[in-house]
Amino acid sequence: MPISSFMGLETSLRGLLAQQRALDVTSHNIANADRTGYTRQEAVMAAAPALAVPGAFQSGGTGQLGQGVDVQAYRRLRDSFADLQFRAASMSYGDGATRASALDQVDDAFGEPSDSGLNAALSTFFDSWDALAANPESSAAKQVVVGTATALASAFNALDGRLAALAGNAATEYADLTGPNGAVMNAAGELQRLNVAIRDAVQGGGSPNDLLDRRDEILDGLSQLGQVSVTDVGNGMISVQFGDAASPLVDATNAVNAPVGMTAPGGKLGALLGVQATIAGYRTSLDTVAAQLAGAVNAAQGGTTFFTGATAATLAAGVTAAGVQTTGTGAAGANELARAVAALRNGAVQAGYADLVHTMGADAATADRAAQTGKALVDAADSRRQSTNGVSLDEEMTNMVRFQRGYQASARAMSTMDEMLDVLINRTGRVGL
Amino acid sequence: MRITDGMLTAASLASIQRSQSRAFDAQEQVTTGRRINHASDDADGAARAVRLRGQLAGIQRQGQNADAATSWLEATESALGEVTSILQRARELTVQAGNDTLSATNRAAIADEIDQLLESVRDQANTALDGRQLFSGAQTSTRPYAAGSDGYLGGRSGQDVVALDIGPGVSVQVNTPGLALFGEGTAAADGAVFDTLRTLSAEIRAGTTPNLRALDRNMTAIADARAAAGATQNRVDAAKSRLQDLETATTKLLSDTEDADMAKAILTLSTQQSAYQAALQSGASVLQHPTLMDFLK
Repeated sequence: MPISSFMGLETSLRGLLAQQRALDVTSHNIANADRTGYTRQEAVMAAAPALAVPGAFQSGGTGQLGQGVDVQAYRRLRDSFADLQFRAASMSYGDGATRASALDQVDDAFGEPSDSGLNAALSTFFDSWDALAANPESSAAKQVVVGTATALASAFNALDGRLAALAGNAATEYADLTGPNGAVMNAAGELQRLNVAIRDAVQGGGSPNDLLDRRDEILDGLSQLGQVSVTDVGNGMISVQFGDAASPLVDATNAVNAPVGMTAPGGKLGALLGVQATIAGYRTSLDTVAAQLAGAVNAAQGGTTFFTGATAATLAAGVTAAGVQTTGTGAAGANELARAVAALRNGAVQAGYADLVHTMGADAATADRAAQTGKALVDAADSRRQSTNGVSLDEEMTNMVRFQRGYQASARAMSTMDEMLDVLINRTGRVGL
Repeated sequence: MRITDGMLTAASLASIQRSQSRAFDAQEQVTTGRRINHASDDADGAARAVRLRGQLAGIQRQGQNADAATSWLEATESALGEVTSILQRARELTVQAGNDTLSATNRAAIADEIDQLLESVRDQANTALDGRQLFSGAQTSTRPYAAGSDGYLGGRSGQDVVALDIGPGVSVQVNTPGLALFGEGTAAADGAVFDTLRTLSAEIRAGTTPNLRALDRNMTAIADARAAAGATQNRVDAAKSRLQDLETATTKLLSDTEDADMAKAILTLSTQQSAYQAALQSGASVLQHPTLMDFLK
């Protein structure tokens, strides 16, 4: 079978086109080099199907004549295992960072150790009782006792109020994130649309690299909010299970289900739930301290209601200066009841409060460390991932030169072919003219 | 490992942020002078600081109580000292009155003087410190021996003790009950100071030989009360110096717990600042590092 004289031109043309596509991919990589979430691509080139030439050899065998090169695919260089690692790290970082930031605010609310916290108010309160014991006839000293008691009760009220507000903030943020227009549902809607677009492209035989990047980016964002597990359901589509919600966020039929009834979603959302429980625990302890204070002072006051309310939120000074009891004997200078209250100093109340500060401080410190570790892990996982899917400009430059040279060489081959044909067409048969 | 441009920038940004955060912590320690600025800086230390601050406030307040106790005891001692002098004078007069050569007029003069001495004793028994009666038991707002009526008006059993706390679990009785020393006053034959002086005056006026035994007993009782007040004062002084030691020790412990070691903190700060600068420098050179692009023609 004869081979077309122009086949060499076609072969060179394939080379030119393939190198040009490869250069296109290189410039796409360069253009997206600094975009987060971008995965570098490469043009996968392979030899074009060879032309079978029967009787090409003297032996009579069939020869295989190469026909140049083709671009087979535009490949996305991504390591899905690195994605899993990154998402796991991102989830624990989301948890640690959210918890650390919330508990930092709790730490600020306590403001211990300082000259202005609840502990200082307790000391001032007991100081005023000691001063009254030294001067039991003084109505000014009684007035001071009522003043310090009011200040102490407000310190309890204010601290409890701050804690309640912080827990409330966490609850609101959780509701916002998981609500109809929250980050989770927005991500779910976009995943749904991307699933459709990717399926269409895949069914059309294409490789929608940039849509896949976008989908991975959304999954990365979701993984910071909670536990994400992805299942491939074919045709390029995925279903996504989020947190410990009963039904998948995006299910196998590509329907979106709101993430309701989660108790331990992990990530930032898990931390927002956990922080609420932690703060509720602090408030219970603070209530215990307040109840202890009210109970002990009221008992020491001979059963009169010096403090009303038995929780941190409701504690209040329930007496006027005239109602402050210094003695049960009626003698103006006797001070046994004032001394009884003063003797409560450094007792169970302050010990209980110091324990609460200890617990809170230890929790906040643990959360801080977890956030730092989480950040380091996320950075490391991201770095590992970048190592595979990031763009290296040096590499792209090298490729650029490589493909440019390839293009030049193909062009040269084409000119050579052209000259050959020139000889054949224009000069053959003109001998002697 | 394949290194990409994104990895280099992310790594240098992360290390710049890390050193900046460490430099910030070091700076906070230096500017506040405290190692523990938040409970989360050191939970154990913070809880200890909270307890120590409570203890320190109690110690300082009890120091003030000790000062108040000292005022009580000093005023009591000085009043009883005056009473001793007065009784001394009464004794001299009584001895003088025992001389048979004295005329009835002379004896009457001596008896008058003893009556005056009784009034002086009343003045001392009504001594008040900052408006608080010293010898009235716990009824500190009531003059124990009002002029004219003479009977004891202060606190009796159950209302006769004024105590102050001068240390953790340490309390002292600061008052000296006047009833036991000076007696009921009016016409009661209780052998106490007022009764004794009144009896002496009557005996001298009547010309009978005055009996000194009761007066001597009273003087001994007053001296005992002074000694007791002195002994209490010694206890208070000892407690006060113990409180001062405790305050010094607690303050030091608190400082050790929550204050920054300034030399170390400043050194750490300058180390961290150098590290931050180095991170910035290396970051700058990473961000502007040459690529192959710079060499391709």
